[in-house]
Amino acid sequence: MTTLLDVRDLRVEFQTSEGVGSALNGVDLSVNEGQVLGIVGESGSGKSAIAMALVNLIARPGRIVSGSVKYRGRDLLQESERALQRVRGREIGLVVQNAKSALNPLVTIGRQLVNVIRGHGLHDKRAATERAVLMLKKVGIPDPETRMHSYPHQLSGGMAQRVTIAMALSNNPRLLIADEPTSGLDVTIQAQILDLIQALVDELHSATVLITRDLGIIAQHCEEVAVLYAGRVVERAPVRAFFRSPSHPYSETLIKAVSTTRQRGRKLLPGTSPSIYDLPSGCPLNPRCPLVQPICREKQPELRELLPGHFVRCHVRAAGGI
Amino acid sequence: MTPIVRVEHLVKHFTVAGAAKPLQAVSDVSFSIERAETMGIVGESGSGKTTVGRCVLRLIEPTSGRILVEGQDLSTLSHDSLRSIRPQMQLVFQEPFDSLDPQMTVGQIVAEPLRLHTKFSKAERHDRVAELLEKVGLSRRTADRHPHQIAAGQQQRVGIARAIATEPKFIVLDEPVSSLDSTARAEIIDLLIDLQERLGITYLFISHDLTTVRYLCNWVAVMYLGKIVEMSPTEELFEHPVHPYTRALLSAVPVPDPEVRRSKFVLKGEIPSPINLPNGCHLHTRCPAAAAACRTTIPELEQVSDRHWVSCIRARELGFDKSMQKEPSAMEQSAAK
Repeated sequence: MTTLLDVRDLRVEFQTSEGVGSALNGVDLSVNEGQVLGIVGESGSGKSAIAMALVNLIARPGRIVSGSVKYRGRDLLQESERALQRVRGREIGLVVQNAKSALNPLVTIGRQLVNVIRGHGLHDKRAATERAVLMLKKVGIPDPETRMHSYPHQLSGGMAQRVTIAMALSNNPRLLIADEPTSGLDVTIQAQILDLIQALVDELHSATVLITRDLGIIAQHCEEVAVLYAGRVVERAPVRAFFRSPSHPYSETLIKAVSTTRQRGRKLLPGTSPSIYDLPSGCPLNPRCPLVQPICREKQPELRELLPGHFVRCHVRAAGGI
Repeated sequence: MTPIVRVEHLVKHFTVAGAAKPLQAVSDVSFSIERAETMGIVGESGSGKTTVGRCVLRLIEPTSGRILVEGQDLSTLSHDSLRSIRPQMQLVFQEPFDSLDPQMTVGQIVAEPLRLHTKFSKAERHDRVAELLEKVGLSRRTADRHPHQIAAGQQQRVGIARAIATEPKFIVLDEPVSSLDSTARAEIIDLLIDLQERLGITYLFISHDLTTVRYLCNWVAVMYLGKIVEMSPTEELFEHPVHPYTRALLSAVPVPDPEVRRSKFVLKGEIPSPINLPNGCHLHTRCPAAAAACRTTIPELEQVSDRHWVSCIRARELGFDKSMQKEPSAMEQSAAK
């Protein structure tokens, strides 16, 4: 399998009135062709910073401090903005969380779609228009011919979200980065969108990074999962292995939290994720962790390979504890 | 057992500016809830589930139908008598932050219903607030903080503390965990179960999140375009769904277990407008099992087995969907041991 995207030691900071916040603290990831990598995390874990950093779109007050994002061998963090613009939209599709802010309010959605399609290869206007209508249809927008003439403000949130998905998929990207692409959509529409992404992967062998807080989406649509906590990947594993034997205490809580069968006194980790402006020293989970040892308060654990392909960042579990 | 809440033939139409016909948000919905049990209402946008919740508390006036809480018909009560029984019925909202006054402290927010509905002195209110905060798993010190100073999960705990302040018998929970992260969501659900067991509260839980509904509810009603299309005890509904809409809904939910693969049951097209409802069965325009008769016959909610109601003229032909039964995963097997 060919590695399409290889991320090393990615660090992102935000400088605000609250001080310097570390959104990403050395993230390593890789995605192969034809693979869906799921990134799961809760609010404040750095999920959205990852999506933007992967395409070098971190905006102020944020900045990429260090690291590399190699797409087919080229480091996107070292490329010029012009070179990046040729890659984004054509080879790399991006779906961001706030769909309305991703659309130009002054231009009809049809025109925006056609522009994206024509700007990246399909120059013939009529063919591009046909393709735009087809894409709107594929994401489940009723009466797409009429909708082409709508402005973003005339769309509901869910509709705008589907338009941005249509846009990201319109040029059959080799890499799709989707940040919560279906949050807030009804489940039947969500299923339709996820099938569309699956088709892109199955038919064109594209790679996808699917960022979500829904473990159901991870279980059903991803081959590999990376769990993000306080800006670090704390566990990475093939999906089946992950659900069968989660190794990080935080992963265990995530899985317990979505159980469908009632358990008496299910124990979840106490407390909430730390603020990026005030990370605990050592392992960032240590104030909440039931397995905590003195070393956890002092030293950052490294990502260790427990079993082939199954990595965990935990002093206790890496040493084979409990 | 006599149900504590009974809804009979509830109808709610809204007038929409510029539309010739009214928007039929809820058409002929009936159900009842036993004491200390939870009824879940699930459905997608436009199903009418939120409107049902608001009508049941008479926060909006139903067009017709009766709502009985402990035998008392809310729909005929005057505003004064309605106000006197308000403390018995509470609502928890979807967005915890938006439903808490940002200028008030947590203590003031939780004390508000006590100020309005009880004759407690200031000191008594203070003690009761501390007690309520503890009940929902917050420290007494939280009382001095403002909503923006606490996490979303804690904000929702404050919303729940406020709702249980007047010791209600019945609470409508309108998507109370939808905006929360999964661990905060699980904690709030566990808290709701705990409060129900300790205080005997009856819940109406309105949600689009089937995983949470399965965990929390004793009964489930599935709504589509203003009507209940299927209703049964929770496990029965999840294991043996009958109505094509229920099957489609269940097959669309990604199960958080990679060993389970649900069969696909896909509906065609979009949900029709509730202003221009299809004739016959509301689902026939999208239903893969639709027959000619479905276009003209309005299906009734009929009993198909002991505790299972379905609104589909083909229900008996279609039978129970066996393909939905999943094999227990390794995780569940180990949990069962």
